[in-house]
Amino acid sequence: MESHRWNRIPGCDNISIYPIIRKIDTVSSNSFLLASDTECILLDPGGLATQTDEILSVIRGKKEEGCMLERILLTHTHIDHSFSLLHNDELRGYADRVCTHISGAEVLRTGDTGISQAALLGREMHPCTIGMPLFLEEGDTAGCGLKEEEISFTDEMSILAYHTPGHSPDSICYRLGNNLFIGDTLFIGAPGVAGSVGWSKNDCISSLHGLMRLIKNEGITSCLSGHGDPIPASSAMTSIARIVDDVEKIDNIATITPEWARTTATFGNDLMAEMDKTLTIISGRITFISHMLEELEEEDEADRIDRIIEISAIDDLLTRYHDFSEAYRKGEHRDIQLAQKAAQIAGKLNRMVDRGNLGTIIDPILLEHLTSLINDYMTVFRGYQPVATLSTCNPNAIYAEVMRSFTGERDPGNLLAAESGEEFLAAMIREMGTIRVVQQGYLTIQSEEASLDVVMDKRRFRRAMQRLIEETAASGCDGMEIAITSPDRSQVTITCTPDRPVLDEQTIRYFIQAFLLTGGSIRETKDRITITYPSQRSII
Amino acid sequence: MEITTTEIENIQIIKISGRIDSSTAPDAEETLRGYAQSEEGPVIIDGSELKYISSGGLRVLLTIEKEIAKEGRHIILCSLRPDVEKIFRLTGFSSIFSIHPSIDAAVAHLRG
Repeated sequence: MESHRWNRIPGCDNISIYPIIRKIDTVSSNSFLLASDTECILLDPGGLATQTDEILSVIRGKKEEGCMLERILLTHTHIDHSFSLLHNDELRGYADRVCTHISGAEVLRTGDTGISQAALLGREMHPCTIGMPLFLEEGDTAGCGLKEEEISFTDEMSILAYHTPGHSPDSICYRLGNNLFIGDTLFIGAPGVAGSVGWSKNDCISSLHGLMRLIKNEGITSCLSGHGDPIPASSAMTSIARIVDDVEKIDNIATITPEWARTTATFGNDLMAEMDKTLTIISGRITFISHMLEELEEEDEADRIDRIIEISAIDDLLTRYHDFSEAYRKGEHRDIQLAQKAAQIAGKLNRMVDRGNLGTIIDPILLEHLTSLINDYMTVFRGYQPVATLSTCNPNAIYAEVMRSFTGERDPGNLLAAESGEEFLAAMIREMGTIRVVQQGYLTIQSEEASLDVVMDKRRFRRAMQRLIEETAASGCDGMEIAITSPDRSQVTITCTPDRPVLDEQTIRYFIQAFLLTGGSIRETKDRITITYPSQRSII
Repeated sequence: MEITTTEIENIQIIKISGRIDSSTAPDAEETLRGYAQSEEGPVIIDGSELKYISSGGLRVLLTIEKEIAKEGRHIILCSLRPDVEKIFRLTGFSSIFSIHPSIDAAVAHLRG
């Protein structure tokens, strides 16, 4: 089936389809025009002016052939599917021929910016009263268990509507012959979609099971999604079964509101900046090691190391994110779109980094840090909160451990113990991968007493502290003072004061989040970072 | 990204402004190579307006450094912004390149 031209529909004599298939985004859905000799139907007008122009041009062309637009069908009233209907005067002229679920008709009539996602996507809604609401009454339940209603025409075209709530209360799938127009079914479990206003887990599961029965038992051969390419029914079955599994695991997620999107976008942007730094350091170290090996005339090994990480591809992704976030800063994208872009790029970066091979060369804490950044963001983007694993531990001991990792004597043991040329080379590469920027004596620790125990996520604290020390030292600080005090015995306060303020606003915001996730609370942030933890409580 | 040149005490200074990332690295490499080939002596880069360098950008500098090192010449970096200098330190690249806090310091270093 080719986009932007008329195609015959297999199994439907005398009916043609004109698909407008778009790349997947939140701006506009796909649109489909269906035509017999005398009747034309538009399914989902979408949300882009250029798309509307194309649709109207096709409709006018058909009209000249005596084929009139009889219906506009909406799979649901989300603004990316309905915007053009509400905002284009010519399409609004067909309002009396618009079919949508009765609850969707109410969304359009009242200009509900919540269920339509208009508020989330920053788009206006011009209320519109439509003429042909569907499922006005209880109606029939099809063999698949979904509510069914036939949309009648004067010609040979017959379309069945199935109410499939879950993604939104007004979601409908439409069947024409063996083809099923499935709206946003394939996205209902996706992070950043699940949890939107009007989304319902139970309805999703029920509708998905109904759709699987419909596709399996009633000869559906092709599924046409509201976003992306049409797929064979067998692929849709596999996808829907997986989506059912995903949706069943979703519990107590945040509702995706404009406020949620704003917070998530800011969190994602800060984490992406930190990911950018971390990946630049990892890739830079790989290039550095490869260069050193070349200098040592170990060209083969240099070449092997060079190929461990796809530096160009990673750079490309980071640049794409930067360009997108710059456009966002200029107001060209909405919060939810930046949050989605961060998730998309973070997911790709995650798949691109071969931790197995890198782990033999690069400081494991750096890789752990990268993994944690990606996991934390994806957790928040899915509508959850990252978990702090709290236990009782001693911050003095952690500082000592962190400082040993920075400034401890280089251990020549591995080099000396190497029994073969290969072992020696591997030990040397590990040594080259350990770049030390923190000098002995960088940290001054003032502690009221050495045995002050606190309740915190020890691993997160160690990672955050290690990054803070490394960041300030590499930014030109000569030292940092850490004061550990316990003003009232129930709390322990840790104050980190670099000898000069070197952290920019975004980096400070990142560290505040990182320390919050250790289980602490941040009290002040001017030229120092102060974190307060409960002292000596039992493990939560 | 923009690359311009100025001359101080008969020494050509190459100023890189903006970002060297995957979209600008090829241009940066070509332009720097052109400057390096048209001049003799060290290649002095003023990084006071360089706001970001990706690992691909580091690679570009390393490639040019290797090319001119065959002639006994080197890249000298000066006036790097703290954020960019930090990347050189954290990747080990600060041990490959000669880095100076200002153009004057770089020129003084050259004058010996």
